[in-house]
Amino acid sequence: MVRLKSRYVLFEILYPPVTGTQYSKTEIYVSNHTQSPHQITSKTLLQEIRRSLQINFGDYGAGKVASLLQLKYFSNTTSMGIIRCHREDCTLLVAALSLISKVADIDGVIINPIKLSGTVKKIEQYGVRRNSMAISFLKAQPSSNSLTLQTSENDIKILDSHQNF
Amino acid sequence: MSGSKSGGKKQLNKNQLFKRQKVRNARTIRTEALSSASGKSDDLSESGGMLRVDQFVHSRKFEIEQLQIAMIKSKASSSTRVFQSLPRKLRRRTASHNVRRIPKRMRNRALREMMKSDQQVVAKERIKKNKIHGLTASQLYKMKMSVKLLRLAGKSTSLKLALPENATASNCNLRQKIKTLQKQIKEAKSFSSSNVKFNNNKMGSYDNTGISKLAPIPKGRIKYFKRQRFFTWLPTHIWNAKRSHMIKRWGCQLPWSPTQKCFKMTHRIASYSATSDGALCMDSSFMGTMIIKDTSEEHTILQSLVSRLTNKRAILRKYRQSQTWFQGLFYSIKDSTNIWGPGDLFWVNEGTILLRVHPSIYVSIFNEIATSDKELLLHDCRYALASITIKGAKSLTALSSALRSVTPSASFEQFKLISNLTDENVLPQKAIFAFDAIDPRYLSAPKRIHSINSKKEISVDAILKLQNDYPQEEIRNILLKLCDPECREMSYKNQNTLKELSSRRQKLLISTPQKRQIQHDKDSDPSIPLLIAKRPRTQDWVIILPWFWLLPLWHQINRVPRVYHFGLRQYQQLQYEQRQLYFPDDYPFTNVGFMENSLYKRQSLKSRWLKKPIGKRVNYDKINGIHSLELPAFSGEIGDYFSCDWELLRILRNGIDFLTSQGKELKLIDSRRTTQFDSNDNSRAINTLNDVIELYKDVRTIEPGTSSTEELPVTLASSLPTPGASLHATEIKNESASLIITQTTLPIVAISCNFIERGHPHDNARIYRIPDTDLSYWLQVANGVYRADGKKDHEQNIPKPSVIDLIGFVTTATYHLGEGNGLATGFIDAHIASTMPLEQKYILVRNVGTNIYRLAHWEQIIM
Repeated sequence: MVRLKSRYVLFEILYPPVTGTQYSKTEIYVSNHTQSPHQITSKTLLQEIRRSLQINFGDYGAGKVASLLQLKYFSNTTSMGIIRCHREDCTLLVAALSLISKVADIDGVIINPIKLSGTVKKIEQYGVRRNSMAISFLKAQPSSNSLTLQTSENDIKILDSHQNF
Repeated sequence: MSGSKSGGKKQLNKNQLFKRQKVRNARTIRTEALSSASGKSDDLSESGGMLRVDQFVHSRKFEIEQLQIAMIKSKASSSTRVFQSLPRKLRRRTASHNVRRIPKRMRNRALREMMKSDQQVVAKERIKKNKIHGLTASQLYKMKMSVKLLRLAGKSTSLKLALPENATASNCNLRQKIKTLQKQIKEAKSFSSSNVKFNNNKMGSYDNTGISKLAPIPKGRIKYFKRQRFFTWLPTHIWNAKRSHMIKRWGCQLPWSPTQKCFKMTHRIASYSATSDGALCMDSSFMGTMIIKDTSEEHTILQSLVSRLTNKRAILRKYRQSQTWFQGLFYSIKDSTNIWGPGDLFWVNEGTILLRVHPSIYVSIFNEIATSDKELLLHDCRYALASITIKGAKSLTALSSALRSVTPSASFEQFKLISNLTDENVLPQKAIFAFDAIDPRYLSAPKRIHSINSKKEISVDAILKLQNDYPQEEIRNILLKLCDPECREMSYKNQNTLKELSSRRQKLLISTPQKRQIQHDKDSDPSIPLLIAKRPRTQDWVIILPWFWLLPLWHQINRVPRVYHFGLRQYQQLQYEQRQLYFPDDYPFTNVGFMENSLYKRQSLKSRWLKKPIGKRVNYDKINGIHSLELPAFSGEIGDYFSCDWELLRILRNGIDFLTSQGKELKLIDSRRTTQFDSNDNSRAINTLNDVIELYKDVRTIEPGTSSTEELPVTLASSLPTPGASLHATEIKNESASLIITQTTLPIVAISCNFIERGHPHDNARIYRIPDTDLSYWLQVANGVYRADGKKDHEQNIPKPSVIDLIGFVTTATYHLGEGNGLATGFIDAHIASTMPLEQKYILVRNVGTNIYRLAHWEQIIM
């Protein structure tokens, strides 16, 4: 029997740094990986991907990829997601993803395809590994200014000082 | 139109919908909701400069958790049945729909699952009314009788009575057996007769040694006796029968291969690879063990016997005095050109040796020694000594965690020292341990030994000490115990039954709850003499111990994690991967090996081929383009299609030698003449190669192996002959040409060849020499021919060799996982092998029924 072969793409949305602020290394990392606002939902994301496919690859590309295009997972809090597509079309999809610069009405975002795999399990495992690396990276950084992790219960506005500039 | 009629999607029933929904639910990954408070202010423009590291970390932690849960959930949803959640090793495919086949503790869950999936619950078979207990009257009578027999047998073991001869005789019927048992029990109770033999244990274990004659088949449990009249069971038979495919050969029922696929696992664990993290073990009790004692002072008879048997090898001091394990070829004592096959030899002391040989040649060797040297004392220990072969990085760990010494012993201390070694190659060539061990079942579970040194790495000095402080005296004493029938019998004294063991354990738990190991009682408990030896050539460990002690040890070893069992097929694979020859398949120069190839394997391959419908089977006669020049004498594949055709090789090579002798030029066909016959003796005149093939066809009409007196067509070349010296030039005398060609044996050498390009060789593949005209082309291939885009070109028109270039056959071949390409073990004409230049040791290999040649590099296997 012929099986439907698919690929899963792990991606993240990177947000532009706010103009006029100066960040340290850690802060750049955190600011790029902020939460996605409410406007960005799986629906808007898919719309955007379809549009990008249409613009960049025409009717053929859009039709080919869209025959199997599922957003398996998208989390606003971490801006990470998993897309499923046909095995043959994954290159088109990855290209389309990286050509997107605007989602909903937020401009200047980068969609970064992180990992491509044939099974969700491996994608999930990679996501876990990546997240824990990010956490350990943050913990390893010397806590500068008010950037502390110990008081994680409260919302701390870390970069008050920067805002004042 | 309704959806169901318009085609396309299948309507699902309730259960299927439920299942689909369940899978879907299991696969969704939960996301953390954006908190509404932060959401509003989270406009990028507003919160621009605000970074919330804690939130960042928290959300990622949440995601990690959810991803992990998703993985677990989706796995759980896919394994729908309880028996599928068992580890692979414990799963039983057979009748897994039957609740009664599932472990009891899981039955309720299994039933629930079966109800859910609309599966029928298998009910007990209903008994027909006219049959009581589902049996006919005669069947019922037989059953009742056999129950009676079993009761009596059980009674006699608990009275510690040895089973009488009649009870297990094949010519005795059930009633006679019952009668003899009843009589014996009666006599034993009244203590009236002295002819009742008693066992010293309740398990029915006894020593079964044949002194100067072959031992009778062991009297195992009476219930299963009828099944092993012709093929004896190994001690682990019942264990293995549940987990392996069994074959009946050489008078034993042997595990052929585990039911679970294990080609890769065998390679990874046992094939001397760095990734090995376990061990593979096999019950190798089928290997016949023989003990030969020389009671005279000088031991000259024994020495001369060993010298003849091993062609002067095992007589060396390193084997005889310092007790190195010997592995090598065994020769016939009467005729040194006749090779029996490989075997092991071990000098217990100066006047005693222990032989281990394959069961197919055991009886012949035993009889030969028994008839030739009458002064020697011969013990047939086939059913008295059992052995386990274990291989892999964890083999020492597994052994040491199941074995404990009875008394403080120097050898056991040495064994403890190396118990955590993973690579036996660091040990010296001689690594022998022998000690008295306690019953392995006293340990509640195998437990690793933590000696003082186990934390530290073993130093070179410690390993040298193994050699220097070798406790020879102590080891010899233990070995003498192992080799003595009475001592073996003594080792079974008070062998505990499982019931006794568990009651002892129960008492132990009540008195000292923290202790699990049953204490060894010096006065009453048995001690097992055993020998652990590293085999230098095959690089594995062999444990030899009394026959009825094997099973307890086997059970314990198999409880060690990452220890698996293997069968003959895996043993062959391991030998192949180490580029060694496997007996009997790779020994065409021995009688057994030749028969295995030309009868047993040939028949099985042929019958498999014949079973296929005509349209589906390869038509070997009509394969085109095999050779550069087609001869009229044959078409398609050359030689026998289902075996290595050594007869063909002999006639072909001898024929070519004959045709080219005296400086003549080799003619393939004479187009002007047809076959001629000699007028003198009516034999075929040999003028061209075509005549040689015709001669082969004449000879082949006689089925191979039917006449046992005929000599084997090939012999093992003792050393590579000097190049240029024609082997047969001297032999050509006045005899008729066809007689010379068909009677002279052909010397061959064992080779192992590595494919340079692609290709997957199979057994019985043909080996060709590279013709001189094509040498430059093949040398180019060896260096790699590339296409314009830099990739290797695999699609070229290759020049074909001709029939005269056929020089040998492949005996075992497949894809070698360690090398990453095809590797074949085979034999080629020794004369041709010697003429090949060292730097161009290339040959061509072609699978049977194909016309594709693959280049391979060969090297000789040193025997």
